[in-house]
Amino acid sequence: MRARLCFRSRRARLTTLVAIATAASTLAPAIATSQVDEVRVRLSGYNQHGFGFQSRASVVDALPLMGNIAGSERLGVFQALGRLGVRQNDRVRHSLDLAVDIVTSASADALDAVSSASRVNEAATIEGRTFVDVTDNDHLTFNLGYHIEETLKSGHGNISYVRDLAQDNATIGASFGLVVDFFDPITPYGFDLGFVRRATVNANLGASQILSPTTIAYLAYGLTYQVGTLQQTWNAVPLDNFDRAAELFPRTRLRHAATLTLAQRIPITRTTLRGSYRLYRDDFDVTAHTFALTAFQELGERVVLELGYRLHDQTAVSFWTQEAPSDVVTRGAFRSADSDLSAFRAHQASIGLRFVLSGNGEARGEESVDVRYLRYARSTGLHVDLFSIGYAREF
Amino acid sequence: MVRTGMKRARFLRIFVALAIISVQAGCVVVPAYKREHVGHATMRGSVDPLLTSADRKLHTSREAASGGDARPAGGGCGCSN
Repeated sequence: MRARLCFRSRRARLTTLVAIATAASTLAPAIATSQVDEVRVRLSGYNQHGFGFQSRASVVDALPLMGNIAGSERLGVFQALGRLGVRQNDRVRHSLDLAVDIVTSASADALDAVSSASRVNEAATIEGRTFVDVTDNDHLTFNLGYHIEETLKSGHGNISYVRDLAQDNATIGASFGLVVDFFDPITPYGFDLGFVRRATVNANLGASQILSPTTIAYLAYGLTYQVGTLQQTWNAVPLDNFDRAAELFPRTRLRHAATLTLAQRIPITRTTLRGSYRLYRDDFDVTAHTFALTAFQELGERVVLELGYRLHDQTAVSFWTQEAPSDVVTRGAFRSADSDLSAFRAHQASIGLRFVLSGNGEARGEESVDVRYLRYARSTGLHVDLFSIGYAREF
Repeated sequence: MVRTGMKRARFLRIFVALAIISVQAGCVVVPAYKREHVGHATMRGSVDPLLTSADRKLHTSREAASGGDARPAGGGCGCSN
């Protein structure tokens, strides 16, 4: 048995070595002939304030503001993002994205409320993409990614196809994606009940069309179906007997979203205006309308001013409550007190400056540094201040 | 309830009308030599992919609605949105 195991192990080792050698011999010429196509780095810092009924954190601090049941949603996030793009040959490009979030939370997290164990959380995502120009008019993109955070491990993959039409005046495209999440279903009282999972399947259709020498329109529709444990199990729902229950969602969710975007270049003033509208609807009875307008104004040859405004309006999920009857647990009724799923209106304003270090602002070959400030404020009282600095170099 | 349904239908009609107008207007073919302005960096679908990604995360972890941007609506984060 031992000899057999040893043989199997040797065979496995040999197989692995052969696989590595084959992969290396295949990839080596590709790597040798590849050249860096794109480098991007972005550092962001968020500061969030607010109160929500799902949170058990800092309840005493919330007393004067929201009554005796809303907890703090205070949150700080430091985020680092990076992208490296490589061109393998005339038809194949690759990119690798890395994102790291460090979250300081006194917030809606049960572990914080119960043990303070997660006052600082780390999350990381790695995502690789391959872009293949199958013909001059047909383009395929494959991407695979992995995400890990305190209680969650998640993998995702996506394949998309885009076809150029009408002498490159229009494109049509379709994509299909899958996300699988595994996480610890921690209760609002800090108990860990093992691992649960959920799956998200997504299909998209998209089109773009040049409408004039200065105008482009983009149209996209996405259908998403989710199945599994969809609630954030550690979110609390206040009960009318002053106790707390865990959230409970239906096990499936069907979501539709359609977005229309128009981009208009005004050559005389060297301005670009982009406007978009998204209509969203799902079977949790959420209907949302999102409008966004961004203006890019060139100030001389090397500076671009970016001004943005976004309005988001949503209805609540049908089972949202800020105080559920105490028999809700025994009845197994769906419930959520998460402020993110309540009815609200959010306004966002942003201002940014991009400094072009080299290149001429055309499609590629630009090196730039940008700074940006964003303020996001919800009618529920939650607000976020975000500062961001980025560097980009395209070759 | 009926009023909500009518409102929803009106929004859908407006959205579909805008989409049709966009496609109809797009029947004109702009030759390559006249596409200097539409090729400008600020006219792309995503001006800075990392900025788009950071914004997306800000919104998807705070709002019940997402998607319509060739990405899944939900999944991949420790949130129930």
